[in-house]
This record gives sequence, C-alpha cells and structure tokens, in this order.
Amino acid sequence: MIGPVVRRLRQERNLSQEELANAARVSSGYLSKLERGLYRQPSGEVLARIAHALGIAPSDLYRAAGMDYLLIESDPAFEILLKTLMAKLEDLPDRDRQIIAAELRRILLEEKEANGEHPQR
Amino acid sequence: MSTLSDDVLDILDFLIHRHRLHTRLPVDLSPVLERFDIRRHNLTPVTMGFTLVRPKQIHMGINRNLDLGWQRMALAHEAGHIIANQPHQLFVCRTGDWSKDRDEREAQLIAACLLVPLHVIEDHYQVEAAPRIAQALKVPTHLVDLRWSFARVHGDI
Repeated sequence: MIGPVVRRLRQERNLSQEELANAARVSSGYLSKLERGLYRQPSGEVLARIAHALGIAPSDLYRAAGMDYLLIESDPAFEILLKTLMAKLEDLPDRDRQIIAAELRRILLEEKEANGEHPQR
Repeated sequence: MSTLSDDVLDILDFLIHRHRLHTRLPVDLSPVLERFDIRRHNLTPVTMGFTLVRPKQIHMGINRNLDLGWQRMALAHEAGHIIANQPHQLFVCRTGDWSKDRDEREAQLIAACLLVPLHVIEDHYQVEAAPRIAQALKVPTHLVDLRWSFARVHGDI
C-alpha cells in the first residue's frame, strides 16, 4: 500500500506532513489521508510530485509501494510494446506466460529507467 | 531436414575458429554467450527458453528445470536466433516443436553446429554411439543425430 511507504519515507527525511505537502503541492489533509491509506489509488501525477518532494524517482516510489503498473499505464508506447510482446506468449502454459511476462516487464522497465525516461519526469 | 544459408555458415565458421570453440570438449560457448544477459527461470517442461532483442542488450531466459545438456542446447539454440539474424524481437522456444517453424529449425541447426563439432561426427558417429557421444559433449542425444543428419545433407561426410 502506498500510504505507509510515503509516511516511512517522509519520516526518514525528518519532514513534517505539512512540509512534504507544501513541497508536493498537495494539501496536508490529502497527505494525511494518503498516509493513513484512505486513498488507495492516488493518481500517478500526484505520486510523482510526492516522489520528487521526497527526493526519489517516481519509479522508485511506485516500486516500493508495489505500484509498478503506473509506469506502464502512463506511457502508451510502452504499453503497446509490452502488449505486442505478450501476444507471443498466448499459447504457453499459465506459469510460463506469467514468468516470461514478468521478465519482459522487468527488462523494459529497467531499460526505461536506464534511459532516464520516467513518464512523470 | 533444412539447411543453413551460406551467410549463416560463414558466421558459424568465423565464431568457431575465432573462439576455438571446437578445440576442447565439451564445447564451451562462454565466448559467444558472454555479451548476452542470461537468466534462468522456473519454467514448465513445455518451454525451453526465450530471447528478447533490445537495442542495447539481448536478454535470454532459460528453463532452469532442464538437465544440463538441455540447458546447454537451449542457450546455443537461443544464440542461434541471434546468429541467424532472424527479424523478430522476441523468440519463445518450446522443448518439442523445432521442426514446425523455419526459424526454430534454423536455430536448432545452429545449436547442433556449435555444440557438436564436425570432427567428432566424422570420427565417431554411429547410431548406437550417439548417446555416448552426447554424454561426452554434454548435449541431448538428438542433437548429435541432428548434427550427423545435417553433415550428410550438407555433404560434409
């Protein structure tokens, strides 16, 4: 869940909720609710601002929160490429399809990060 | 039985001589494979491996549940797709359908040529000796048979 991750990262940086909220251009009420898990699906744009305010890459925040899919959803070209590759896995057993799909996703995400292509940057 | 194009045979000849692949047995393909990102995965027996070709890196995944000989063959087979410069971005290879697809046949022939030196076939091949040769070369027996068939078709023996 994203909330506890944001809270942990904020506390590690000795930031108050208000300080982080100001830096991320969100209200402190919103941040408080986010940290308490009341917003389970915050937008990628807001999370990117929070990530930058915390001094980390949005992708690192997504990954820490188990929300890697945001990287893909926010980049249509990436999604198309992944879907094109996935089409070749259709006839495989479920286990193989899941393993290879996860590997393809990992490779493409790492490639994207290495190229400095964070969607929200 | 398919054959390989002259271009592919030239590349194979270059690789084998450049890296002296066939001077020590079993063949060590490390010099050919070292530029690839290779990982092993917990795949079912259906899938041998896969290769993803990206602009800056070639990524290979091999079924770690296969025995050593099969894993060596799988790596050579995946390398075969690259050596043959086949125009695809993703190759997903199964353990049992090489004959159904031209690209798969080509990759498998390349694997046989890489891992089973011609001089071994010339000197030792007999049908009943294939399992022993395969054991010495650390490859599946059918790869030895395939190398022999290819050498016959190609006029090498």
